[in-house]
Amino acid sequence: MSMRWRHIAFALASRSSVALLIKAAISFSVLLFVWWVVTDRLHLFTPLVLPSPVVVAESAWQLVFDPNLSLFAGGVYNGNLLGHALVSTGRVLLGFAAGVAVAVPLGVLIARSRTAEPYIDPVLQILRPIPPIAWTPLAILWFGIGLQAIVFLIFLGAFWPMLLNTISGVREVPKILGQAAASLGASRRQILFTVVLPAAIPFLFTGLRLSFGSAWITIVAAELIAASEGLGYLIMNARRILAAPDIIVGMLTIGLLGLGFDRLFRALERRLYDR
Amino acid sequence: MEDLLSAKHVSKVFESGRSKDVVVALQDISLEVKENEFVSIVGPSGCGKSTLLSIIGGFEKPTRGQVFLGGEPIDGPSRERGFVFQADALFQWLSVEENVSYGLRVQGYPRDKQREIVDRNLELVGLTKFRGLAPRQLSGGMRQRVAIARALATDPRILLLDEPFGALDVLTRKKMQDELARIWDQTHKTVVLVTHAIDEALLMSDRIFVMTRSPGRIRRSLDVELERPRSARDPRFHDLELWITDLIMDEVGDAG
Repeated sequence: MSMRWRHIAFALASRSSVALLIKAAISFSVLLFVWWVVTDRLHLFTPLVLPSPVVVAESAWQLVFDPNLSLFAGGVYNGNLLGHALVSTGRVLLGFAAGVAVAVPLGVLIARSRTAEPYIDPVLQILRPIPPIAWTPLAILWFGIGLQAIVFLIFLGAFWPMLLNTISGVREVPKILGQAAASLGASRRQILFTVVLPAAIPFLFTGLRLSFGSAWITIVAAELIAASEGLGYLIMNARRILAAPDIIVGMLTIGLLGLGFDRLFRALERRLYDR
Repeated sequence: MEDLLSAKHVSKVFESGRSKDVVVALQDISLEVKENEFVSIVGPSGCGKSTLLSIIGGFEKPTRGQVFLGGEPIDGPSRERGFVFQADALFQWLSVEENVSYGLRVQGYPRDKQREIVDRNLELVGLTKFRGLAPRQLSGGMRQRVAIARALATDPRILLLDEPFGALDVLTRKKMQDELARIWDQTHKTVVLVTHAIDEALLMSDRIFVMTRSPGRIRRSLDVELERPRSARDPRFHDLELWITDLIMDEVGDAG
């Protein structure tokens, strides 16, 4: 009993987070209201260009619950929103995992090895400014239209932020931490795994978040061109058949999923680093 | 008694890349430290005393000369030489207890042995109650006590202290000096302490090396024969302090 009261008291006392939530709710409501007024009330735009929020909501409902749509199917009006979202998320996770798996060891190598760095760094400096999307034609030539090409593009999107953050994270670890560990008997390998990487966790997590964000941006662009399912495809196909509400539903889904994953990474980081 | 640590004709020259400027940080340093001896190296900032300790720690290589521990030349850091840094070098992602047991873990001590050693060392520095906390929940003085416990846990042959209280406020510093004197009384670990605080050196040392700068050299070594526990109020303590101060000031005057 008293515990429960203490919990409630605590929740009320942490006013800042409650206040933040209220402010966010207010600004979203205002945005929605303005959108509704300019479309449904003032009719400033034709529904073909900017449909009202009510129509968008209906269309979202339909994309999720229409029994004529199945979870996994080809065309947009055969696959439902959940299906497209799952396909996109799966592709992102694949490319993201591959990007991180390559970027972290490479970043550690570049940051820790004076021998390897001058060989690897110049090549990376030239490749880095090329946006992943610019690789699309080449990716299609290499892999054809399909999963491999898309995962390759996402891999590139995820790779760079992770690499750069790994390099700075490892370089920023104070030298004396490694020295302290060495004087306590740790081997080079032990220092890497028990000191350097844990000390770099804040950077690594920033890398993970940026890299996931970048992968998420890349998927949509990649699916616009080289896919027959997924959220990017949903949007592109909706444009082709002039279904503006579906475009907006697709965009909002992308935004919400991106936000959700970002929050997930933050929560994970707090669990791992803040004791 | 046998010399545990000896530096033989150690010089360190830093070259600043392009201009070929050469800075002689240490010139022909030789010193010996006996088993169970508490030795301090004092000198003005920039005299190279931290560089010297870094070389003894194995973090830097001397340009000329060599340092020996128990007759073996020093080549890189090792668990034989415990080190406490001026800056906070605790592992922030580990608890106090895990910091102290770190060396035992990487050296593969059995668990019950780890526990026993950690208990003893936390007790020694008076932090038993804080074992579960994270380093950043502690004050600066407490953090340095953890660092000392961590370095002592693996029972190194020698303990190297690089201005361990340099970042602390005056009062905390005084308390920590008493604390270190007490810890040394209990362990009689061989210690090399680098400090610019002459009173700190006098409070604890059997022997003090006074360094001067440009280039860094040992100007003098003196045995401190005051009985322990020592007090800064002792007139003999005070005389020695003034005498060493003059020794250093002389040199600073010469150089300036």
